[in-house]
Amino acid sequence: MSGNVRIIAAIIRKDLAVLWPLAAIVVLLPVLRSDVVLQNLRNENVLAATIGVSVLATMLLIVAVVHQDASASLRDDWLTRPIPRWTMVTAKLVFLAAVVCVPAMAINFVLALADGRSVGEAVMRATSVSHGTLGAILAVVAFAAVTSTLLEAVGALVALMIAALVAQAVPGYVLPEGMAILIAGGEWLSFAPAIYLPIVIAAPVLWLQYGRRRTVVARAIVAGACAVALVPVLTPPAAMFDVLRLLTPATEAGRTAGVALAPGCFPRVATETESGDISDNARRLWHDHQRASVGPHAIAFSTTVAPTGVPGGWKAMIGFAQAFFVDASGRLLHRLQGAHAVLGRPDGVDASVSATHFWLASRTAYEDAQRQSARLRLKYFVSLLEPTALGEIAVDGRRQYISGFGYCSTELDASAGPVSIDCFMRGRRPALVTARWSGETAARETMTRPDYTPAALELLSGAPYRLTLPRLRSGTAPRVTLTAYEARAHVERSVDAPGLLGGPSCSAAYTSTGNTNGEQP
Amino acid sequence: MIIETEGLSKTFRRHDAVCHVSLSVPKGAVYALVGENGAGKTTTLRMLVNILTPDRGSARVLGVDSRRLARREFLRLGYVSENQTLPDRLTVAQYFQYLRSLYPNWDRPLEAELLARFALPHDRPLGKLSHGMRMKAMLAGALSFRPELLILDEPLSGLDPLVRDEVLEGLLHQAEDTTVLISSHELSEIEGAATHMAFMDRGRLLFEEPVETVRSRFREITATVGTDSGDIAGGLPASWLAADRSRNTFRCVETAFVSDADVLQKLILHVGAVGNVDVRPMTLREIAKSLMRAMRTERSQ
Repeated sequence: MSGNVRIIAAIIRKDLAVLWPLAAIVVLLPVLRSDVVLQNLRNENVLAATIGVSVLATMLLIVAVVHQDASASLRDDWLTRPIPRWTMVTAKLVFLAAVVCVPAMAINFVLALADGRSVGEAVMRATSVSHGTLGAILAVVAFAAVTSTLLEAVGALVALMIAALVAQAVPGYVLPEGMAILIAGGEWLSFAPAIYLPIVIAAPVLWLQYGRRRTVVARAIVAGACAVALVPVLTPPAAMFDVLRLLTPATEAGRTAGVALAPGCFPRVATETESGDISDNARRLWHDHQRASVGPHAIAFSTTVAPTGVPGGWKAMIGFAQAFFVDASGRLLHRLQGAHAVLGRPDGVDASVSATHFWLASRTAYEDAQRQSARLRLKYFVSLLEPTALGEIAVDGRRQYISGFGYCSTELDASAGPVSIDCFMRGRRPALVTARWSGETAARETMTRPDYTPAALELLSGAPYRLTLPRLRSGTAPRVTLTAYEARAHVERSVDAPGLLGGPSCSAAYTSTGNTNGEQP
Repeated sequence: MIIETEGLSKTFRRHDAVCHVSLSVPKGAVYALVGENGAGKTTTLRMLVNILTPDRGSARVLGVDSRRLARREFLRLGYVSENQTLPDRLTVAQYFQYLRSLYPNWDRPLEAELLARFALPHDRPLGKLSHGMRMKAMLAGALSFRPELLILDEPLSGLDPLVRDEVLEGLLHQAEDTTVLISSHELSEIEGAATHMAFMDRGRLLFEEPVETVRSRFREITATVGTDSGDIAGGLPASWLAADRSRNTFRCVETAFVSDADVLQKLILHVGAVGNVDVRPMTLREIAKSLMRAMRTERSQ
């Protein structure tokens, strides 16, 4: 055994001798977290506790194993022992890989086989790297590396959590829209700094801390990364959408596509009572703080929009919408509160047809807008998706690999409930997958939640996805057609609606060039 | 020189913990670094073993720049500090098993001998050892690979006299061929073994000399003086420390002793007529104490 390998083995043996109870818990936790066990845990509290303990124990183990030979310390025994510093780093990483990663992989492999997956799929599932998990592990490693005691590390983590909470309380942070960008495919962008910064800074921090013993600089980098990770929390969703646009070069479709106010029952107007209470529906649509911010006698109404100029077969997903009262020169007068229930798009809604949004305007804003002969401006953030792959799967329960979709199977429910399509894909995944019964129109399809993560960030990761289709009336054994889509453009479109609340009647379609006839509630 | 520093300096938040320290430790020496708590001894030693990086100046240890000390040097260098953090949950046996695998030059019979000499309980976790036992364990861990250089930071601090003797005996017994750099604010224990002595105060090295030179130039002087002798406050030789006159007795520490006649001459010149004069050699401990007292007085003034 070479010198370094012998030293690594000695350090790991020593750490195991000290930390084996915690290591044993962490090794066994993947079993508890596995789908098989979780599906049998009907109690949500037990489930949450299991996951909580799992995360806590893993974090504790990481901190403990790094602090066994703390580098930020001035007193640790190992600092004056014949241990090359990179050998120490390697020993700690090998320990963590052996205790945290390898058992999880092995258990995932075994559980996948036990669940009837093929060896190929089981290997793919077991070797898929969750970037979020990797980022979290490396973040804790970095925290542990620049601290010398558990108290210091916990203190730093608590400070970070408080900072995150405080950041969310900053005026101007708009929760419903923030949620919208998460749900509308930009989730990766919101979490990218938190996930990828630890991956990026881990090596430099370890190099500075172990190789150069520059604790202050290493701590500054960790603190800076924490601050940057909080940026998406403070960034307005419109700005996030701009980043998405920058990352996706616009295609011709991006230039021709637009939106138009759709015909139909439009607008609807609701008025609050004197006490500030509004109907149960409105209560569900807006958060308490939104309702509180508009005060009594607020006005609720809806707008419906449909995409235009979208190439055949493409999809237009409305990420989120904003509504304003603007004056004749286009100057913003008031911003309206969007309802979270619609801004947060539920799975399976086809935005290619239309999307309805609900708005809440304070009485003061409304009256002020009236005085200034203002109009309603609606702004939509639209993603255009092109179909890139087509696949078909028989509803026979058989697991099979479908190019472009990964390993898929349909679950046959004897109780005549909906049929679910369960897939797992490693590496680059489509931004959106839809499913419909072969031969049926697109109107009856269901879809996954859009995810515009760049392909480069999906290389080593794998993820399951599930689609549910209502069962066909006929008893034949049908087939399901899957379609994969990729985002080709993210565009922002504005529509000036007629009147302050959208228009005088339910019969006309109003486009962005429409007039501005007002309407009294 | 096995250790040589030049202008070694370290600043913590504008506080000069170590300021331009230049010291030389010859091979084979037992070098005592003396000074009060906060004098900068620990910081100096931490820079020597590359736990801290100097802000200015340089240090060569075992012929290598201290900032570049690596595995090869640490195989030849033992370090023990009173506030060293050990893997407390390991038993003594596990700790030594761990250490063994780090050192190809580990001397197992010597380890066994030291463990037996110090009566260390093999199966007790390090965290449950008394302070004295921990120091013994650390010392055994630092001696068992027969280092060329042993750096000890206050190794005897807080030990009861019996344990202190045991530790010291074990250290001196095994460290015959080893250069020892020991920091302490209490010197009586290594009085007989120290070959060199350096004194630090407020981050500065005031002197470093062979112990024999130190011993030869320090004398405690007690003289009987006439009651009509003048005030002693001003005009005393710079080599006199802690000059004090109470009634007809004058006391001071001569730091540049040449001869009794020279002392007498100075006394007559600076104190006036003197009667009985007692010129007594001092122990290292007494020398260190008088230096510390003098520095404290200087600071308070």
